[in-house]
Amino acid sequence: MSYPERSGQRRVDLGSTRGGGPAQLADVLERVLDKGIVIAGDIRINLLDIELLTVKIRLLIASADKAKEMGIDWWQGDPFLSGRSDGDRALEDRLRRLESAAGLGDEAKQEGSGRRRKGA
Amino acid sequence: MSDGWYLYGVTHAGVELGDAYTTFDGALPRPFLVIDGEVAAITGKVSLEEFDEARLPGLLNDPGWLIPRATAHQDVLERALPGGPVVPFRFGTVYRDERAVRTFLRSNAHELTTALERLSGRVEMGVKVFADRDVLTAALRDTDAPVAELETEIASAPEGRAYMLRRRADRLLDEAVQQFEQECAAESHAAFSAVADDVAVNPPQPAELSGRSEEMILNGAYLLQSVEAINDVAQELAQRYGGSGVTFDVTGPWPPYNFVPSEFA
Repeated sequence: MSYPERSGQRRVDLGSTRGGGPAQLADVLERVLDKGIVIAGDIRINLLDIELLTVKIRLLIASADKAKEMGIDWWQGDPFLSGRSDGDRALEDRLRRLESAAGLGDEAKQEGSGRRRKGA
Repeated sequence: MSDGWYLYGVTHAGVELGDAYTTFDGALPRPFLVIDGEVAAITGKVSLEEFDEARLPGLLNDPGWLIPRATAHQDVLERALPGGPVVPFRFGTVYRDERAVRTFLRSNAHELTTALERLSGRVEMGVKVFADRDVLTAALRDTDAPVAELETEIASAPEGRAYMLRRRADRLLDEAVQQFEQECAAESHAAFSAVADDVAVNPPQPAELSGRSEEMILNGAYLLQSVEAINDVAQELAQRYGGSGVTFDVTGPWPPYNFVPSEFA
């Protein structure tokens, strides 16, 4: 089997956007952290931790480049982001508020999927 | 401390990857294949000191740790795509030894083979549909019949009544915008679904994430054999909805993250 050039397979001439930037990173994280097969490996990875993080990234990823431009180490200064908060409780509470504000909660997800699936 | 075996995904045992993996350089280890029967695990050796259950929650909450590794995970799977179908794993699957990797492959051989067959010759494409609310609102103000009627009435109404009617017109216009967006999303999804073998609809990304000022009204993933087909549909829809401020953003091909059973034995 021949192996196509990587540049050839990355962009099927589509006007597709697989370049860098926050939007592309968001697409990658959405898939790598939320989709794909989940199995119980030998090392327990807490999916809740990933979900928490995903949402945090969702909300804050776009500000990363802006912060970098301004010379700010964007996640280091925020106890919420650097995982140095007082406890998971506070983190979860804050996250729940952010999720609901962003319409990213479980309910919103299901609602969103349901409404649009009808059109299929 | 000893090494762990990080699983990126599963592919066919006979896959030819050329130099796709020897040239890999990322924040996760260089991948290699563990072959068992007809299937092969795309795996890499990680330090169990790093992938330690006690440390992981902290690391997962550090974007400086996670983002390069999540990106490397994607890069490894993308490099495998030209060789044949790939079943992607979610980030962070680690076994303690090769024997556990082989046990997984063996006990799930049938499911994995079935998934690989279903994905063979197919790719995942992403489509995000955006609506520019300003453009859409302006377009509907001219074309939405109930709103247009009210506008006529407002023009000849006394001041107090005009104020009331104006508020009503604004509300009607908001509703018309939302209805248009829902219908546009549903019709677009139906058109893309018509050329796809499988579909998945994800929650629209907020503006902070999409990096766009427009409203994301559809965030779909489509499994299909012809990449051209989805491009054609996107172009048709773009022409149809272009005047209403709706744009179509097609990405891919992606490893088929959205089209594998999410839970496995």
